[in-house]
Amino acid sequence: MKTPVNPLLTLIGMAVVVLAPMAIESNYYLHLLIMICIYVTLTTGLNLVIGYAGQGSLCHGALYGFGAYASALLTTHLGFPVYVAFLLAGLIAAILGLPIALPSLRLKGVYFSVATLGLQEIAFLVNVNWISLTHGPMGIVNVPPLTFAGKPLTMIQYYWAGLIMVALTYALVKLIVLSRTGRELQAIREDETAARAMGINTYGLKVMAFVVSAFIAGLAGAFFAHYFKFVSPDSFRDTVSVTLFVMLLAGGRGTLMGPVLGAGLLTILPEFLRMARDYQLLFYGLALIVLTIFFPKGVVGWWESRVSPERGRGPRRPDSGGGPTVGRRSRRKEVTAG
Amino acid sequence: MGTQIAQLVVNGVIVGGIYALAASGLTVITGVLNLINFAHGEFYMLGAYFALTAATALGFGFVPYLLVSMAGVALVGVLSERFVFRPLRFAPAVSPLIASLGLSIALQAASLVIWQARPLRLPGILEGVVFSVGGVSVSAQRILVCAVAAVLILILQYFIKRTWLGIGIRAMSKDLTTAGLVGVDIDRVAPMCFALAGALAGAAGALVGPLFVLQPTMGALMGLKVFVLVIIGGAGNVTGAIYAGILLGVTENLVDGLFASRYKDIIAFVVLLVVLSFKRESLAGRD
Repeated sequence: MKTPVNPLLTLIGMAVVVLAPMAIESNYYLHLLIMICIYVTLTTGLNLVIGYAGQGSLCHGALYGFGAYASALLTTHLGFPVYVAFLLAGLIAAILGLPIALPSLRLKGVYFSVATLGLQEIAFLVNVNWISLTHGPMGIVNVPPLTFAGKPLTMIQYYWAGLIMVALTYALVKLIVLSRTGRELQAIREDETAARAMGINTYGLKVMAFVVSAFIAGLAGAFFAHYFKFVSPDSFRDTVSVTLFVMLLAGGRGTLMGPVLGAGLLTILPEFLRMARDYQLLFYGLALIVLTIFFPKGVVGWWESRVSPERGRGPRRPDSGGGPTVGRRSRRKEVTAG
Repeated sequence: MGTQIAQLVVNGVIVGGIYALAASGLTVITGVLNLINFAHGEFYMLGAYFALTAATALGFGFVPYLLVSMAGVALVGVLSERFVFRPLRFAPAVSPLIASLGLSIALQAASLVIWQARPLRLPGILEGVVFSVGGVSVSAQRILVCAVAAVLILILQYFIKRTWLGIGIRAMSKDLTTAGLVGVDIDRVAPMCFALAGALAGAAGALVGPLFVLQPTMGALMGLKVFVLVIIGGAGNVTGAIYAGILLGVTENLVDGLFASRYKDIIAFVVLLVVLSFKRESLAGRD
């Protein structure tokens, strides 16, 4: 089941993650770390829907945008305190996620993916065109920063705030995954019909997973808004949804560490190609194809299959509905590993 | 008002013809191979650029450049099938979907490198010739586009209904396993489907070349819209895709002309959601 982890090593590792960035002088590297925090939060939330419930959602960027716009509008237009707006942004994203989830989760497999992609496009076009609310492509400027003891956060403090967000999200998702609900979600992923036959309210649970992940995405969006102090439609496009999907895929969906690794790697790697933006996209597209064909289980799945071939076997994929049943039984007990 | 509406409908039918052409190829792929190809919009974009290169660099006329871009994109389709979709044939449905998103990003980026982001225009033939009937005017170029689209769709219909390969394609869209049992070879039919879809998307791109400006991103929205058309028309249903395409073209033009042009591009997705919420029973079986 679980690999034994040395508690001392864990403690040292955590101390390094929290304290080491204090030595970083360059704001550029701190910025990258903060972006990793945002992406880890987003992919960890998305993992509930894609990795555990097995529903390939392609509108997470829109939910992320709802949170960002909600928090930005609440603080700039209605004068809400920043942290109140922050929490409300999560709730608003969850509430707006509900009308997305209810019709689209009636659909199965790729049709769900296509419907969510359509909703993503609608959300983007509304962000661009509802000028009286969103200021269209000009975006909302002068969003207030996060504060601590009355002063705006410094870069390193933003990083720590991001870490807190990541930790809370990780804890929440882990709690859900380890609970009965988490196992029911995985049962849906493995075989929805069988899950329903066993008395699981599959539709209700899928909606629940979607709304929780929308809440998390909303918080990440609020963080984004108060970090950049500016929101515009371009930050929440379909490409963002695809990127998040790819991060999850690359890291390993349905594992707790997958989103962390995927988001970390895919935030840093493209930076090396920053010089040639056109080639960066080309690389990204080709990487996507290669990943899907050769590493369908992501970094975590690949690593597990190398370390212990028994545990990594069997497709850990969102909707392995028609696949061979070999290895399914052994998978139940290892899905919580990580 | 009446003339204005008639004009909008006529323009809509012409745009709809392009949609129909692009969607009828995609519906064959989706229906037969049961996969989603988000790179179809990029096939269309490549068609336009192939035509442009053939016309400007090689000085080809209309018919040769149309054929060049159809053949070129058909080749791209066959290569995509061989190297992207065939390895994923037995993977879960979401894998080819993701791979096709990757293919779409890669093709778009590649054409950005080759042709740059600056908008280009394909010189039209029959420039400036305009027919006018009862206040509704149509340029000869647009009539040509519509006529060629119609001819290609008729050829496709004949091919699907009458030839052995077409019968094989239809057999596979009904039941893959049984078709295999009676000797339809998927490794031969699948590349043919992609070649067919590529050629039609390429033709659609080559035909709109003189009407709109060419940009490497022109396929993105198109790819999503034609997918919506495939779902509305029913996966594998060529006739359905054609009607859906023309209907979307007309609706978009009417909304554009009479109400809010800014929301024109939303229509396809709103229709998609409405259709998906009503048709879910029949669609859910094909995931």
